[in-house]
Amino acid sequence: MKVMVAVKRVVDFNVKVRCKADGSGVELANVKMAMNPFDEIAVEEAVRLKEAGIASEVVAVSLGAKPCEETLRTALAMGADRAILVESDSELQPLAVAKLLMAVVEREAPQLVLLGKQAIDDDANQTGQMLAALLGWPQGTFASRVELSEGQLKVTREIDGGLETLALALPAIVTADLRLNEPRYVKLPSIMAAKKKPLAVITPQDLGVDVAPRLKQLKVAEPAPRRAGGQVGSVAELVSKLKNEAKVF
Amino acid sequence: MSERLGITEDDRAIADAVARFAQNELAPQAHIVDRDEIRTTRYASQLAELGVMGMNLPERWGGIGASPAALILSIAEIAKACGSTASMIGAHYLATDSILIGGDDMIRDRYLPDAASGAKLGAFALTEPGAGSNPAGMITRAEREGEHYRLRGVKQFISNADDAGFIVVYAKTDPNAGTRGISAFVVDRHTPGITVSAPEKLMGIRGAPAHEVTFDCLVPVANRLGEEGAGFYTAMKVLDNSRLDVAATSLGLSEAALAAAVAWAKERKVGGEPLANKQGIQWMLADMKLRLEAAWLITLQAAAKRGAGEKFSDYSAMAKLCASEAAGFITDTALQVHGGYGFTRELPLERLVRDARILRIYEGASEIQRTVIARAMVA
Amino acid sequence: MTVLVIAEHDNHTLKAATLSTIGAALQVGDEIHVLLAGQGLAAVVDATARIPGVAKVLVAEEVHLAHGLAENLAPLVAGLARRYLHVLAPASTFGKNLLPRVAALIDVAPVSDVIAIESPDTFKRPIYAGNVIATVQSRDSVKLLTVRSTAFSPVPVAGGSAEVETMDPGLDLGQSRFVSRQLTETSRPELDSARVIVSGGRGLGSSEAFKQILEPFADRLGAAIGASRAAVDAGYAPNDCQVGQTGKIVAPQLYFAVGISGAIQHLAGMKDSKVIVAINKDAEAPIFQVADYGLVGDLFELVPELLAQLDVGIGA
Repeated sequence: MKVMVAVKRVVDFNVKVRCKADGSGVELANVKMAMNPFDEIAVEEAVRLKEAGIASEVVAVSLGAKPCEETLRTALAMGADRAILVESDSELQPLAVAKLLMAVVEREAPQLVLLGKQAIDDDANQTGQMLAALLGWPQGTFASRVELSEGQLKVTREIDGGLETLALALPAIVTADLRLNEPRYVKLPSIMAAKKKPLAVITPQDLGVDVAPRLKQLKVAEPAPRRAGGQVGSVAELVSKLKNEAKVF
Repeated sequence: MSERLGITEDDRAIADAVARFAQNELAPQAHIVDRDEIRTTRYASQLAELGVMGMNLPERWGGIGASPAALILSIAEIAKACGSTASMIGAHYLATDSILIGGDDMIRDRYLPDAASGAKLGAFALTEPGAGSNPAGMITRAEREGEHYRLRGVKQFISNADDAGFIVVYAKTDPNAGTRGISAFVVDRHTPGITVSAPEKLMGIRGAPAHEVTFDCLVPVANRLGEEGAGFYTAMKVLDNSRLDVAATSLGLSEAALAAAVAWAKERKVGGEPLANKQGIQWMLADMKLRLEAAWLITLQAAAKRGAGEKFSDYSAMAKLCASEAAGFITDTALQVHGGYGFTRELPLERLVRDARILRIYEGASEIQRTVIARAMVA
Repeated sequence: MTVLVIAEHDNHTLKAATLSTIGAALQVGDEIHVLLAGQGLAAVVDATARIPGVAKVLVAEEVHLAHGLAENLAPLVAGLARRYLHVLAPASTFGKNLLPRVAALIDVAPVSDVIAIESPDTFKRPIYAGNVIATVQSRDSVKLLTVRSTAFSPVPVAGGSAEVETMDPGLDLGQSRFVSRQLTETSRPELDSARVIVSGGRGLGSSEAFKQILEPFADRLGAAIGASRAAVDAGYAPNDCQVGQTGKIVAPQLYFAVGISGAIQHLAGMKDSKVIVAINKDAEAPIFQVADYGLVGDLFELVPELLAQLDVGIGA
C-alpha cells in the first residue's frame, strides 16, 4: 500500500526565535531551518513501514516556498521514494494546507497519510485532523504506536494522563507524537542518493485550492520576562500562590 | 540561512546530518572522553555507518563523492562537539589519503572499502623521535628481502595506532637519496614484529591517544604504495589535504568556544547588567568573530582550489596556520570571557583551550606552514 | 451572545478543564450552552446543569459516543456549531483531537491554545513552544477555539440550574473503534520530559535524606528527581540526575530547588523552567535570585509540611 507523509519546513528547534522589532512576526532572516521534528518522526514511521514490507511506496509532500525542497530531500534521504512540493510563496495556514493535502491525496490515493501532530512554529496541532475531516477518513492523532494488519490500523494515542488504543478502518490519517519512534541519522550516501530521487513541483492553482488565510496575525510579542523572585513567608502561602497565582497545581 | 562563499546546498545537507550526530552522540560525552581518556576510536563504526570514515574517498571505494567544502564543514561539526573525535578521524584520513594518493587500484581495492565501512581503522606513521618537521631525517629502514621488505625503526606520536587495522608507514628504502629515498607501505596492524607502546600522556585531545610504535617486521612488496622513492611526494600531497582537516578542526573548536562566550556574555550579570553590555567584552567578541570568519574564508578558498584540482599547498598551509592560530586565540579569549568559571572543569572552555593547542603543532607546526607559504612565493 | 462549550468528561464526572473552558466562554458571551456527548451521562448532566452561567445542557447519548471518538463526535458538533458565534473546547488531547475536525467540516480556521481573549474575535495564543505570544484575529463567522485551562479561572460547580435538552446522537460512522485505555501509573517521569522536577542539593546532607525527604515529595507530584552537581559529587544522588551545565538542561513547568544554593552552572541547567520554587536555609543563596517563590528555612521541616499541605490542598 502507498503511504503519504507530510513534512513542514520550520525554524530549527535549537534556535531561540526573536520577534521583529515592529511585532509583525518572528525574525526568520538568517535563521537555521529544518524539518519539523514531529514530521521527521512521521517520515521515520513511514520508512519503517516500507522496510517491514507493509508499505510499497512512501511519498513525501511539503507545502510552501522553494526551499521546502531541501526538507523534502531530507525526507528522501531518510528513505521516502519520491516527493511532491506544492509550491507557494503565500502564507499557508493549516486549513489551506489540509485542503491542498486533500487534493494531493485524491491524486495519489494513499491508504495511509502520516503527519507530525503539530509543527513547532505555529504549534497549531490541526492539519491532520482537518485533513481527516475533509477526506472523511478516521484519524489516529498523537500516535505513540502504529500497528497495521489486514486492512486495519491499530493506533495507540498519547492522551492526557495515559494511553488510548483505537482501531481504525483504512484509509486513515495518523499524526505522530514524540514517542512513536526515534528517527534515524540520515546517512551521508543517502543524502547523495536522494538527489536522484524524483521531486515533482505543483502549485495550489494546479490543485484548484483557494489558500487565502482565514486568521489574521495582528502582532507577536515575547512573553514578559521572569520577574524578580519574591519570598513567601510560609508553606501555606507557597501552596496558595502555586495554586492561584502560578496555576501550576 | 545565507552561506559562506562556496558552500552548496549539498554541502550544507551533509554538514547538517553530521552535526546532528555529533551534537547528539559526541557532544554529551566529550567531557567524559577528556576526563577519563576514553579512546574516540570507539565511535569509528558509528561514524562509518553514517558515512564519515570514507568521506575523503571517491564513491568507488566507499566514499560519498563529497566536495572538499563538505568535508571541511563536517569535520568542523565534529570538532565543535568533540575535538578528540575530529583528531581521530583526521589520523584515519591521513592513512587512507596515503593509499588513495600513493597506491594503485589493487591496493586501494584491498584497503579503502574496509576503511570506509569501519571494518578497519587507519593510522599514519611518518614522525620519528628524531624526525618531526624534517621527515627527510627519518631513519626507519625498509630493506628488500625477496618478495618482502624488512621494516625496522621507531615512529612517534602515532594516533589510532593501537586500534588500527592498518598503519601507513613511511620508511627509507634508500638512505642515501634524501627525500627521494622515502617509500610508503601499508602494514597490517597485527603483523608480527609491531609493538605499540602505552599511549602518551597528552595535554589535550585526550580521547585521541598517540603511541610510539616500533617496527621490526616483514611487509609484502605488494603493500608498497607506488614506486620506491615516491613516499615523500605522497606524504606531501597527503599533508596538503590533512592541513585542511586540521583547519576544519580548528574552526569547529573555535565555533564552540565563541558560541559559549557569546551565550555566557549575554547570560552572566555583573553589577546588574549582562557582561555583553561592556565594551571591553564586546571587543573581545568582535576580535574572536573576525578571526573566525577570516579563517573560514581562507579555508574555504583552499577547499575550492582543491575541488578545482589546482595546486593548493600554499593555501592549505595558510588555512591551517590561520585557523589554528585563530583557535588558540579564540579558545583562550573565550575562557577569559568566562573568568574564573572558565578555568573550572565544569565548563568546556579549559578543554577547548587544551584541545586547540595541538593544532598549531601537528601536521606541520605553524613555523613549517610559514615555510611552505614562503616557498610557494620565492621558489 | 450564546457560546457553545464542548464538555470533556469520562461519562461520570466533568474534567476540571471544562470548568475553565466555561470560564473562558463567559468572557465572550453571556449565555453558555454545554454539549455533553457520551453514554450513561445522568450524573454528569446533573452536575453540569448546576454550573452557574450555563443556560442549557445539550445531551447526546449513544454507545458510539461513549469514548469521545472524533469521527462520530465531529459531525454532531459541526451540526450545532453554525448556530453559535463561538464554540470552545479545552485545549486538552480531547479538544485538540476534536475541534480541528469540526472546523474543517464547516470550513472554519480554528484557533488553538487560546490563553487570553482580547475581544470576541481576537485571541492570544503561544507559538514557538511558548517563546512567542501571537495575537490573532479570526475572520470566520463562527470562532472555534481550544483554550488552555491554566489560563482561565474555573467557574464554580454549584449555584445554577440549566435547562437540559436531549439531542439526536447521530450515527455510528463505524470508521473507528475504541479498543482500550491505560491511565499512567505514577511511575517517575524522565528528567528531560517531566512537567515537574524536584531537585536536591548539598543541603540534603545524605543519600538517605534524598530518599526520605525528596522521593515522597516527588512521587506525590509525579515529578522527576534532579540533583545539583554538589549533591551528585557527594554521592547523594546518581550521575544521571544531575541538572546543570554538564548534566541535563531542563525546562519543566515547575522546578523545586531544595537545599540547592544555585551555583551558576546549576542555574544554566534549569533557569528556563516556567516556575521555580527554592527552599534553602540561607536567605542569601543565589538560587533565590531566579526563584519565583523562595522559602527560607529548614528543608527537613518545610518539605514534609509542604507534602502534607498538598495532600489537603489539592486532594480534589
